[in-house]
Amino acid sequence: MLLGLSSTVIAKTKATATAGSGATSAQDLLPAEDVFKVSARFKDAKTIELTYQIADGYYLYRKRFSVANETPQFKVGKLVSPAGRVKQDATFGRVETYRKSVRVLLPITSSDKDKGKDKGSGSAAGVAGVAGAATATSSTHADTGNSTVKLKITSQGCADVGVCYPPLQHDLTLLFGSGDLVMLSSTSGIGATPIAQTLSSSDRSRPALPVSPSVADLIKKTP
Amino acid sequence: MTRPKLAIAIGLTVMLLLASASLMVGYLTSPESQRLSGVERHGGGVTEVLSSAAGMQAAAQMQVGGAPDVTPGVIYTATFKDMAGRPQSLGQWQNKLLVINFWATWCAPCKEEMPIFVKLHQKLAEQGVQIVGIAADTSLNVAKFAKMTSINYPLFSDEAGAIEFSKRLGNRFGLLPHTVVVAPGGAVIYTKLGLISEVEFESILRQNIPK
Repeated sequence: MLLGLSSTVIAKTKATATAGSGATSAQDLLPAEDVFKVSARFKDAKTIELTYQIADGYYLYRKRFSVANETPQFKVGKLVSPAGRVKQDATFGRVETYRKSVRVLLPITSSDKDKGKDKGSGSAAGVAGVAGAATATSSTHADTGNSTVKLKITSQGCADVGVCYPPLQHDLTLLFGSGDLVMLSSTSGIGATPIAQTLSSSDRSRPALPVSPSVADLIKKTP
Repeated sequence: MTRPKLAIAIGLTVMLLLASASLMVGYLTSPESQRLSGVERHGGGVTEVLSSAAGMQAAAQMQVGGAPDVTPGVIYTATFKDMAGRPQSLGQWQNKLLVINFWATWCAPCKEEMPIFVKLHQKLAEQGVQIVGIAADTSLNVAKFAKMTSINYPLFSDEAGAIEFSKRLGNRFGLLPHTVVVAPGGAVIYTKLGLISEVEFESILRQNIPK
């Protein structure tokens, strides 16, 4: 009877647990959006701060962050990331990784032709100045007269159980208004639901807004 | 039967039943039983031995957890570009035991296990086993990687398509590495998320080599 099972039973099993890991086996792995949670805020008038919360048992590679700016009237600088934890990888050699959380900074200014209009602006007013300078451009928000900046932020990480996530992209849309900074929406992964929230530039001590909502149509357990 | 004899007979029967049950439990948790029932245990990742030869077709059609959501037709019409940019259909290997390994140059564990596939391809290609590597990566990255290594099996690339195909083969979150074994005819008989074990994987292949 047992021999008969060999040809008909579909069986699956969890592998041995990995010590100290959030995911004790590949079967316990979470969707990327739940592992690498991102939030964004304006650290100051010309800097966007992205905070990645990384679930236990997972890590991000320092060298795998990238930004694509889809709004030509704003100039995005090079991402500034802190030193990571050095890991000697069997394949890649010396790599730096982040665990738990990491904050990366993204300088953002108006493009060259708008620079003159920003001069003399203060911190919050500087943001408004940028917005003002860009108001006449194609990215003008139809309803409010404010301007938006669209960014695609990519990161990539793995799990300690020995699997890697494909590069994860977050689409970030930020609205510069008269003194207000409004995060219009952000999406990540397949089927992510956009969110809409408002953040006042005068209230930057508030917790940052989540950029990566859970993906409802993904089931938390791998097969 | 007298009452003492009846009591002895009942006692012996109960003891026999208990002994049988104990043996059965021991057997069910033994590696031998697990092999026979299709359960494989090893160091990391998730393995599904979907079936062995006799039940392959039925198993491939069942939807259990992350079981593949494909028909043989879907597998054999899937086409990916090779290193020369030519489209290659998986259908050309429908009479082989086909091993599909999803990988990427940015995935350390993927690259770590590739020497195992090289070895197995060397050992088993002539016995009807065909290994292919489908990269969720740019063709440029894959070409560079191929130049620096001596991979002896075909490498294809499709940055987005590879992950989508891998998902259809049971890999819900599109994680890498992901390895799938397809029997001649198109039934998926084995899937593995994470590093493969050389010994275990060779054994799986040998058990399913086409006659």
